[in-house]
Amino acid sequence: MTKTYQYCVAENWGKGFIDHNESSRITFVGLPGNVWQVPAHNKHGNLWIAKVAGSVKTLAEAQSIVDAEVNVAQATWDALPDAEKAPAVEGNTRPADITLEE
Amino acid sequence: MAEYKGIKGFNIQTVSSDPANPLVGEVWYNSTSATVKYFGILSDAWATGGSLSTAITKLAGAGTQTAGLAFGGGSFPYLAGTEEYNGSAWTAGGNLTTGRNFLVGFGTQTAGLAAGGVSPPFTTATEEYNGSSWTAGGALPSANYKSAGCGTQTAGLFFGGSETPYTGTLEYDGSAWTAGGAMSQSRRNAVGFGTQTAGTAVSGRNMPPAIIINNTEEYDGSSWTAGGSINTAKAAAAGAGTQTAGLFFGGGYPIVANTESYDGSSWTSTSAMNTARRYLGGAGTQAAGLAFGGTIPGETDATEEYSVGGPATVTVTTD
Repeated sequence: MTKTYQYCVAENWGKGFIDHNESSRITFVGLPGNVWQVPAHNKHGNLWIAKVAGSVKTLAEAQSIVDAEVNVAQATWDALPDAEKAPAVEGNTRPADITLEE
Repeated sequence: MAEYKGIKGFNIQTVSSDPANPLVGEVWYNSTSATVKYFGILSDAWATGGSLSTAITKLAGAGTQTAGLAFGGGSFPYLAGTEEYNGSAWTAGGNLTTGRNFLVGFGTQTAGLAAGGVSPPFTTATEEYNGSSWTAGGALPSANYKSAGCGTQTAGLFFGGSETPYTGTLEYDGSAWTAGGAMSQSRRNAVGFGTQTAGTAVSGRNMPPAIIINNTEEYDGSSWTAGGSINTAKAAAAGAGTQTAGLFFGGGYPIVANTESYDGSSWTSTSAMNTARRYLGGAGTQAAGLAFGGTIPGETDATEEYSVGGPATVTVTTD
């Protein structure tokens, strides 16, 4: 199956990490663990990964990194006092798992 | 492989500096930078900005894309820190006297205002920033959190929230809060932008029954009237701009990255943020928005800058 996305790990250094031109050309999806999803088989995606010295990951590798970060967030939420998790404080739902796409 | 000359009938012009007033579609070779460039049309987009010094969520914001302010936020502990943005980097400012999250923030980098929030439990505290330190302002009549607001340090607006009156509006004159007209609908974790006499309340969650609502209400200085319906209703988002040129981004359960712009009557979807997040801070204008911090689901220090598209010089890149 032809993959739609590719993944890399790159630390966001701030200004210039993704510039307006790059963002207007392709869709970026930033994920926990400094994982970035960009279009596969795409010149602009490939150039951006090279620019940021991204470490390309397979889907499984990227999923594992994201899972580890989400697990930390879930553990942090689990450790909150009950008052912080009470229904009255809506929206404080337990962080949901994130499933990456091929 | 086709050559430019074969397609256009002439060679690319070589210049030592980019043309001052290029036409859309114009292509040239810049001999100084050794790059081929063209003048094209870019779409609206979010780009990364300088990162906050600390990953933080449930914070407030004020100011502009080149003179922004981030303050408060966090959970256990409730943070008092302030950071100032200059368009490329954040630096530390003065601390709030009362550390808190879920607070309301508006104003400018040198005349900011913080009100309400969880400190815990809930606070009535208002604080005013002068560009370097916070001092006490007039207290809210009653403590509230997850409210929204807009305006300036001397003409502010505070509305909704998780405590009664859920539909209430308060107006600030630089020293005291007084009651304004009530919204038609209760809302918490809504977004506010605009001014005291042209304010906007967007989406959020009503209470009860705690349903995410998709409507907009507009304030004229005394009463609220219905505005346009947003395409994607969500709470815990952020916003920027004015009643006739607004921007609404992030938020949601689950977390989303989408962005919508408002023209005073209807909402239009535009480019999504690069990193989806909720409980983020927002500032700026519709044409130059600023998003920072939030939950992704862990806390993030990432900043993004929204810019409207238009004609721009683009450097041609190759594989």
